[in-house]
Amino acid sequence: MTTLLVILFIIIAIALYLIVIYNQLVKLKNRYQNAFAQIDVQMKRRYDLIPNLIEVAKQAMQHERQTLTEVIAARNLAHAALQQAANNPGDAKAMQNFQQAEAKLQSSLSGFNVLVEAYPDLKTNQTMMQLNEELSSTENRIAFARQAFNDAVMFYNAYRQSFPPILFAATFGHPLDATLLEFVDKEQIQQAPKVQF
Amino acid sequence: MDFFGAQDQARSRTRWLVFWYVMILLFISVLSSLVLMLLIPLFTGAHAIRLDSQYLAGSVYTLDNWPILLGMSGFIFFGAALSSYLKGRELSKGGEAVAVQLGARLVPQNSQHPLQRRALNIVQEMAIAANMPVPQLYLLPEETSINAFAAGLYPSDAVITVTRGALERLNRDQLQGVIGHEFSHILNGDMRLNLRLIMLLHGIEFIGSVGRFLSPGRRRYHSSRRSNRSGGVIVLVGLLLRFLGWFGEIFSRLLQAGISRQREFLADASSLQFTRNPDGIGGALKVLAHAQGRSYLRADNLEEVAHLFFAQALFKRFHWYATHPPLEERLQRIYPNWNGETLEGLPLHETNTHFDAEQSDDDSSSAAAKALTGNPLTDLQLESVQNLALLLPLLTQNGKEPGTSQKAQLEALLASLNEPLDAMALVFAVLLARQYGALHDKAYSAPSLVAEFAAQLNAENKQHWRSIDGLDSLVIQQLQRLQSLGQINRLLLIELGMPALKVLSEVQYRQFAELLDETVAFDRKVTLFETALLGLINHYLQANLGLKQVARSRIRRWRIVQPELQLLFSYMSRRIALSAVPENDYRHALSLLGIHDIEAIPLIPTEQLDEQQVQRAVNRLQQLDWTLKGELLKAMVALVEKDGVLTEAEEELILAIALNLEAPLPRFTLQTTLEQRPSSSH
Repeated sequence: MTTLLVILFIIIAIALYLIVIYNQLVKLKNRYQNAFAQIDVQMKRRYDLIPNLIEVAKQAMQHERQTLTEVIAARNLAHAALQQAANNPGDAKAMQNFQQAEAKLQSSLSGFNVLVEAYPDLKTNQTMMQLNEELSSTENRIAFARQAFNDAVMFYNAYRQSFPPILFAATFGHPLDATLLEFVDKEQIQQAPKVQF
Repeated sequence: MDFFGAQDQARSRTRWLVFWYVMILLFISVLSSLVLMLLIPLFTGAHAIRLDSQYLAGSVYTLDNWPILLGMSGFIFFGAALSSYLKGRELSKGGEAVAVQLGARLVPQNSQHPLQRRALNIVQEMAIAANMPVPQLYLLPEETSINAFAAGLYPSDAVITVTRGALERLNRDQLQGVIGHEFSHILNGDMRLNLRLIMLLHGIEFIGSVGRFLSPGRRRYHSSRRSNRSGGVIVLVGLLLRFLGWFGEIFSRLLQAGISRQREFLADASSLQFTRNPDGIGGALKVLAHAQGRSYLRADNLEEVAHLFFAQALFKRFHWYATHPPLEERLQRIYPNWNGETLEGLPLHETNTHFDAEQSDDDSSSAAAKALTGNPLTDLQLESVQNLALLLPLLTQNGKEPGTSQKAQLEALLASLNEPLDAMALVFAVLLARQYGALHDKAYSAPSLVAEFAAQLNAENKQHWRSIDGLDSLVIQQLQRLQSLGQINRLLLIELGMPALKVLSEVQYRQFAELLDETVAFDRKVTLFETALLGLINHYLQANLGLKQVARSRIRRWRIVQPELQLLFSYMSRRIALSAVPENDYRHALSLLGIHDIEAIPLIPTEQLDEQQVQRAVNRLQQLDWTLKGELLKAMVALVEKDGVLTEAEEELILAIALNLEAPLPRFTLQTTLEQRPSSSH
């Protein structure tokens, strides 16, 4: 009788412990998903700034139509990719798409910036400078939010892979690690257009 | 509203609840083990099992079997208690856990969605009225019904959650009434009461689940291997256990509902006090009453948390099961002359201005905005103007109307507090500006101040500082804003920035904390306000990240904390109140706490006072019981007011300490103390 009780008690303790693991997994997943919301907000702000930037440049850069449309196209692509990633943050495919779209946008933006250098009037345009300033401060905020997101993802992955949660993670609906969000280094992108031109 | 009284009441109810909990649990575990003992013959031999009373009295319920009865009762009791305990531990990690379980998502503090922006602003306003750092806002995106709840144990880990329906179907005043109601729950100490309720229900449910485990559906394939005679008994036992679990559930739900209904009236009343607008909460209740059943949620696993909500979250056939009083009764208490007439005449489209909820567009920011007036920008601008109008008088102390350029600066500052990086920069700016002001008489130049500060950092912190892109330029920007604004309530700014800071990851928080430690030492000296501010930020962010188990209030006698009181009051009378005879102030303040034996804890001379020690004392005082915290705050106010003057510095310090103690000191109580003393104009 006593042994039966002890065994029952142990079974119940294990069951309760599993509930704790399950809840912890849910919580950590929620943490990184919420952290992505920050990236989402900042990215959207950035994507809203870019058309304004192009609008200002349009007047002066009549002959560079193609570059301008390229930037807008890349921006739209990245915006769509962000939507996908926001619906499913940490998902490997969505994140990869987003990173690629973002890299493309970055490189077309730096192509645009190289062009702007050739228009001194545009460079000193008040609105242009303001927009550029806002764009760079938004980029700082993105970097900060991205660090928070990646920290949360690493925390989740570490917990998921630890023992004993690793034994049950897949059963509880957490079969895969979440993917980190890495953007190509800024300097690298700035060099990329030089190769193209 | 007497929040300390309400908390006291909550605590006595908690005790009563724990008593009933133990009673119900004991009763049910003994009954269950009596049922389980029917299985004994299965283990003792191969008799056929009979259920006649003679047999039962003779071989099952005998005196010899008492250890079995005891063991089983104990087993069930402790199993239920353990399950309660684990649930409690999980929930005491903060309101986030509850919100996540129900599928709520964090609303980013810098969201540009007009409706979310409005809700965020309302949470800000209510938090400021309640004088607590702004909690985070969560949204139940799938729920189109109108409801809301507050969860968490302490102000530091509290979260406010609203349903999408509440966001979209209530107007600003109504939503304010609802959120005010939720804040009252926080201040009334209902969160701890709620936790006990949830734990209780969880424990009782445990017994029911043992029954489910043994009952037909699940056991069938097992029992088929056994002979039929024992299979029948197992099924019977399972059914009986289920019945008992159900029985216990009824009792505990009645208990839950009874307690919860009382607290709802209390929260409605305090919501009125926060918003000073009966049409806020009243309007929201009318909308609910008009559209019967609009408060029911779709999510499952609601039973345990049903009492957290603003209105009935679960449909109940019998009203004594309801966790919330009938809407009519609640309305009656808000509008004593109300007779239900206005409700009948109220067309649905008038109450539900934004009845446009069924669209499930993910990029709903524009769609929802169009539902309002068709122009998203004006809505957002209108919202920010409304928010500014409410916050402005609180932010600018000494009542001077700010100029237009200052207003624009203030607006930019408020908006920046929603960005994590900018909020961080603001904390640095506030600390640096204050210290510079104490050192030099002249105005600072922001870039050189930041450069000087950055040069002074130690190697590790220098690296942290540099690793955060754009931090120094943001600190410069915030310093310039503070400079152009002059007099501004800095503590309030920190309170407003708290939800954005809570977004920091653990790594980012640690860097931030290390940098802060060095920031307060910038002028080579640390004041109590600085350490209180630091303590506040650390306490809230650590609680949010789950790094620190929040200390429970346990100390109920002043005698235990006499050394801490000695330090705190000595410091306050020597350094803060600055009257001619600090001894008198000191003695008076202690006598307010009923401590008359001053010989044992004499006033400490100025030179022996150390801010960090005082802060440690304040930290220890966090463990005081709620009523004692109230008395302590009253004594502190009395001490600094003894000279008839409550200066800004004094008020700021008391508020900072109150925040550290997580004690409810709503802003209006402090303001009324001020208003009652016309002589105190400074």
